[in-house]
Amino acid sequence: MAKAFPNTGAITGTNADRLALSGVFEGMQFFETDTNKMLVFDGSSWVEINNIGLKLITSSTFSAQSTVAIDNCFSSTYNSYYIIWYAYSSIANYASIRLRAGGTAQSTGSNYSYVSFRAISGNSSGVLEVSESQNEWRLTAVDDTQYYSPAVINLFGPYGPTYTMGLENTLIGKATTSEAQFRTLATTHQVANSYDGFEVFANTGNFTGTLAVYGFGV
Amino acid sequence: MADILIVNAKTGVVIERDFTVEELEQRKIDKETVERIEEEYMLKQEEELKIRISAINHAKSLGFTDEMIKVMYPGLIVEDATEE
Repeated sequence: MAKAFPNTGAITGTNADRLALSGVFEGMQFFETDTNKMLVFDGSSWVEINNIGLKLITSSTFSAQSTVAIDNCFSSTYNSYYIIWYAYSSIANYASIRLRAGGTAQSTGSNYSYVSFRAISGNSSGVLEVSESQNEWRLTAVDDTQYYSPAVINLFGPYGPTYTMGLENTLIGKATTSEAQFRTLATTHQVANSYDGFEVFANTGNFTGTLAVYGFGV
Repeated sequence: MADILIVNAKTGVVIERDFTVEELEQRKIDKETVERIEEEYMLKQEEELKIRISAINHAKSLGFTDEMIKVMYPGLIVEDATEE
């Protein structure tokens, strides 16, 4: 026999209904039926609890694609984003990133800078690379084709009127399974523009894999 | 296979298409810019290496040992210098 639950869920109504509420109290919950937003009153304002924590904004699966662009994924809802790139390449190459606004990649002005460090297991030293005044961020290298070279990309402030900064960690897939390689980057884009998207592209060849964009809610 | 896959996160619309003539031209310019910057970076690195080797060799000519050079100039990699 199914367990019976009392009907004590959140109050439901439209956004207009919520805005017209009186007698709200701390801890009061409201589900907006027209926006599918779940909100809680924190004593002074309504807080959307759907957006607390990591929230998937969009994801995509692609095959043999030289450029994958995600538009309208950055907004005023979040300041920080977590992007997971999981792909392999058709040829030894690099995956690079550019920010986009209104469907166009930002490549003029040479405003992309990054510093990276790459290390390989078994080697006592790594490779430090500094690149300033570029027109792209070079995300990850692909040494061996058909082996996944995943990356996690943390982007801060792409939509807000500040410089966009990033912290990226990538693994470089190798045919020699005993060898581990990583590349970590700190990136900045020195223009206080608002960007609503980004693209990942191959300098040669193409990629097959998945891409997911999450927003950090606070 | 098309040149670019564009996902609109707001609408969910996915478009797969080739680059326009303008986009192709811009990407050609962008690629040339990247290659030029990389070449300049490599030349700068080579020039710095030459200066470093010259500095180390000069220090050695004055009687400084590798250990002394390492202590005085931590940025100088003694192993880079050629034997005279």
